[in-house]
Amino acid sequence: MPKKFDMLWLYAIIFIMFLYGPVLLMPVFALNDGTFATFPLKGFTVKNFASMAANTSMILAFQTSVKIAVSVAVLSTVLAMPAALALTRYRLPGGGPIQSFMMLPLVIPSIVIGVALLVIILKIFGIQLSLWTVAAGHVLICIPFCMSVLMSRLEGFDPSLEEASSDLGCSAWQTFWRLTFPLALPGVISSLLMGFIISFDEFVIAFFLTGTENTLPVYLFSQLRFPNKLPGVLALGSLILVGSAVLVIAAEIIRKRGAPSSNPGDY
Amino acid sequence: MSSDRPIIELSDIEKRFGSLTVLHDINFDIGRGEFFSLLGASGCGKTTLLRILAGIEQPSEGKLLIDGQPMAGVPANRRPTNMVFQSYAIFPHLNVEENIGYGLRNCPIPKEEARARVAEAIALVKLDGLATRNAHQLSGGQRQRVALARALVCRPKVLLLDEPLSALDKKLREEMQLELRALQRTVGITFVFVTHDQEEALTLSDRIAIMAGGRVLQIDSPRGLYERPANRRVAEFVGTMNLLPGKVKNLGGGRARLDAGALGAFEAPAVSGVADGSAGFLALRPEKLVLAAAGGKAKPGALTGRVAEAAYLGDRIHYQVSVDALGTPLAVSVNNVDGSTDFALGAPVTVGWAEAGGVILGD
Repeated sequence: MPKKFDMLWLYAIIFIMFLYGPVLLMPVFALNDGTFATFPLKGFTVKNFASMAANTSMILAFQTSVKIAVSVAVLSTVLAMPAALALTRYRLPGGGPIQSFMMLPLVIPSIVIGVALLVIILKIFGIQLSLWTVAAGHVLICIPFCMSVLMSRLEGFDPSLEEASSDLGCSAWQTFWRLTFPLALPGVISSLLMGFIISFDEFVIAFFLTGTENTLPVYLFSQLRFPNKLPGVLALGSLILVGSAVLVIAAEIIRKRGAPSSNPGDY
Repeated sequence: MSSDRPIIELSDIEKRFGSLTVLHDINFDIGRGEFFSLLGASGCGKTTLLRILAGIEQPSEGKLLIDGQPMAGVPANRRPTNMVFQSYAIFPHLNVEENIGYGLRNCPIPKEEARARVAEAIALVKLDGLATRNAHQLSGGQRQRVALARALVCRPKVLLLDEPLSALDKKLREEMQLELRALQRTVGITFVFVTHDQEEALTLSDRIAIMAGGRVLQIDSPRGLYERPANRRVAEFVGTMNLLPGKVKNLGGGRARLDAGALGAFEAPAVSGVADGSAGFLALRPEKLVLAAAGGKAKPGALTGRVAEAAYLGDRIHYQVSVDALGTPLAVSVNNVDGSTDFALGAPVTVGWAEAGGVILGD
């Protein structure tokens, strides 16, 4: 029996192409031996990737971004952990509104946050723009992500585990380090990766709040003004794309593998 | 500290959650080395009371002493109690040995002794050979043993057990009941056991507190509760009880007379606190009743009726006998010794009892 052509399959294929097609063109052009990102392709080359090693300003920007992303990941996770604990463990008065309020940066356009922070930092506090101000801005937008990742992990386990730990003589602090933290570890790792990726890829806030040093996305943007730098930018973009994808997938796998099972007290 | 002082003293304990009062006026003591059960239906406050003993919840009012020490403001981790949770709360990231040794890290004892005590506890609950097993590789019964060992290894003055057997199947549960009782005799620690299963409470306990609606209805030995329930609610809660309603006349000397109208008047031992002239009941257990074919020489005070229902259980036969002038049929349980206790449905019978077999109690 000839199989009837399924419209849903067509829809799915178009959907995927729409989502990933433009992004996947980037590595294609990065490997193209030509200055302009146009078809037809002129030939295969890796010189765009090879020349990156010699580009010191780009490597400096990369190092800057990694430094910021690591500190932002750690700081946002450390700050999000107590909030996630409070919201999952205790019936806080006004817990619901507090949670929605803390999730707000998720939906505020980052340009609004960027402009607002710029005004506050320069006009009210009179602090000079630097990598510190970029990191602070990134922590602000990372906390809601870290919190939701941690909360989904913390919500999963039996509340009597912590009661049992306290019953067996552990103070709240000991219970956290001996029980809660090890059990939440997959969530913590996933939160760290999440914070790293968000900070590393973030452009708008970094653009507004940075001083003289550039993060990698800001450096990329500055290079776009020079048409002959385009292939190099595409090569760098391709690497960031692959790196980000690997990290996000890793974060998801760690979170899913650590997901609590339906068996209470089990995981 | 004098050793005859009760290990737990509760006075005027009250617990409120918001505007809801879940425990009223709790006043009793638990003796050293006792196996004490809190028995009641779900929502009666028994688990809340246990959590107050553990220090997980704080009472809204009243005083709690453990081993003579006031427990107000003492958190769970500083109390001489340990708890076996209903869900067992086995730490999923640790193996059996590490689970059992968890509390010992907080005791000021040398490492070798801690190791020896863990090994001892593993042997005590018969988990030999499973020391390095992971939590998720354990069966329900094994988890229960780990929870028990983990709580006992800290040598608490009181062990609190929150329905520890309710998640096990019937056969395993009966096995664990016997083991639990033997264990309690071995270690000699006071056990406070929460259950909704009256049979379990009767089997295990030295004394039982019956709870309902946040109050303690009666505290007595299993025999005392079964034979001399304080009032109608306790009588109906523990086992099956036939109740003949009537008016009480106190005869003094622990005896009373119940005027049950058309059924007649009965003399029987009375529980304390049955007021003269008040409404009361003659309470008769099904196994204290004797059935005989009607028409023979009926014993004085016997009731006549008809067999309304019969259930053959093998070792026993349960009958429902409907008696005129009594709203609900009488439950009668007889031993299946020979054919003399076989009655057909609808057969006229007399129901008799020894005078000491009944008890007169209030509402």
